[in-house]
Amino acid sequence: MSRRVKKIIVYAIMIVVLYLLQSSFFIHLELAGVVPNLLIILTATAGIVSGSREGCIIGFFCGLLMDLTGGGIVGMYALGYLIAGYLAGIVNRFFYKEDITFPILLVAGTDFFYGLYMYFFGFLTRGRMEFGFYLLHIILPEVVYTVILALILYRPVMHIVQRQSSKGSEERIA
Amino acid sequence: MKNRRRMRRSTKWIFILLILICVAGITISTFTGLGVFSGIASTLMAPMQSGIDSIGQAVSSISEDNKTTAELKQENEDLQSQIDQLNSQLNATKENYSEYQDLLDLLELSEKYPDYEMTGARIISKDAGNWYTTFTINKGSLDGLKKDMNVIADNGLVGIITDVYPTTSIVRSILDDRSSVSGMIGKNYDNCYVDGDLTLKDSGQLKVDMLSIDSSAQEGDEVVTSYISDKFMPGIVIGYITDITPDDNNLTYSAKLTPVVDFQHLSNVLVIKELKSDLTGSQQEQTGSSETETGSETETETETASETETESGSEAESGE
Repeated sequence: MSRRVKKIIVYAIMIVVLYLLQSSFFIHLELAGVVPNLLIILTATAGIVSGSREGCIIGFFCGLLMDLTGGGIVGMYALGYLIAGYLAGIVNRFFYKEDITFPILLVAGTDFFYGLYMYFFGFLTRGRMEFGFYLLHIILPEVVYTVILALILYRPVMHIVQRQSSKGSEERIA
Repeated sequence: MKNRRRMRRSTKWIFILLILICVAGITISTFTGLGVFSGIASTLMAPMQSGIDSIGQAVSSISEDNKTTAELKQENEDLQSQIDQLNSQLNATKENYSEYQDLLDLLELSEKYPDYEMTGARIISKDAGNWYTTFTINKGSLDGLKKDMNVIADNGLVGIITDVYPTTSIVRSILDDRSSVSGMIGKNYDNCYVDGDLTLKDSGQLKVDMLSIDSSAQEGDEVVTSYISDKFMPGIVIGYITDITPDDNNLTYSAKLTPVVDFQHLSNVLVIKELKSDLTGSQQEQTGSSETETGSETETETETASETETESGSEAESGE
């Protein structure tokens, strides 16, 4: 039980730290007018390391924090992140600790999915049709910037996530 | 194996449950709002955001510090010439202004820009995504801020407060794709709408809509907030028209607008601590009295009192 409490605390700290970096630090380091999506790195990593269940729970709380502090409709970001985390978790069985290429590609894919989600639910529903523009100027730059940071952040995040759910991976080996 | 299957099933249930929570949240917040939870989250995050924001600013200013002496000299020269230019402009404006005052006196329209009570605030974080342009400022309901208060900087419109929490508030910038401000051309009072548009955000511009084809508006005309807006104070400068084209329907013009505010380097803002809804209440009283033609000379001179406060506010802003 205390193990579970510890896990919750570790995840909560990671979410808050990455959120703060994303909302208050990286806004000063924009590249091509976009900021990286650190919370999607965490969501995708949680998904690939320990499966859909943790992927979608972590994604849900990442999105919820963005919703609650963003002052918009509560639940929009949460829904996007939770589906992204769930989808990332589906390929959990291809996870190898040493491999970095596949997880990075998955982070890119997850962020790309998140971008499409934001466009369809946030913009297309309000009659913004220029998908090509949003793809080239928001979605893809964000994916690229996020991948660059994922190259740095994936290993530390992966180790923390894996330590929290090492029980699950032992079970898989056996 | 059985254990695993059970876990997979429970994963599916958790997934569906969380989706339902999100849908419920979206539904509830569309109709009533979940301000309590947002308030708690924002209040908890604000002090940390404030600290990390300072670090971010420091880091980004390091790259700006690395200017060579030659560059500084060049910049100094440029600025000097700019000062001369602006001085001459200022003189011309002063002349125009006195002429304008005379005309106003002639028209007995001595109503000036009201000097609003304002308070300075610092931006501590922005929306943590790339789709919307909202930001958090470090003042909230404890400092007397309310929803729908206007936010300005550099004497131009920045946005409007959409959510207020005890120590922080969320400001939706006019660049936000969801923003639409009722504006008018400064010189002839033609109405139009100034909309945020993400496709123009990179160029730092906004979109102007619904400008009547009869309008004599030209490039370079000033656009200010309109009298008919129900949330924005009248007469705040939004920006200047840059690119004007007739629409396909031949009834309206569309145009682009360059805002006066430099959104790229925005860190401090001023919040106007008056609401348009209060103002329209008092304006209705005024028009009511002028219609009966009894109280036309009873204009209150409370403006001088608030003027000093406004000045100290803007000094504080330029000081930082």
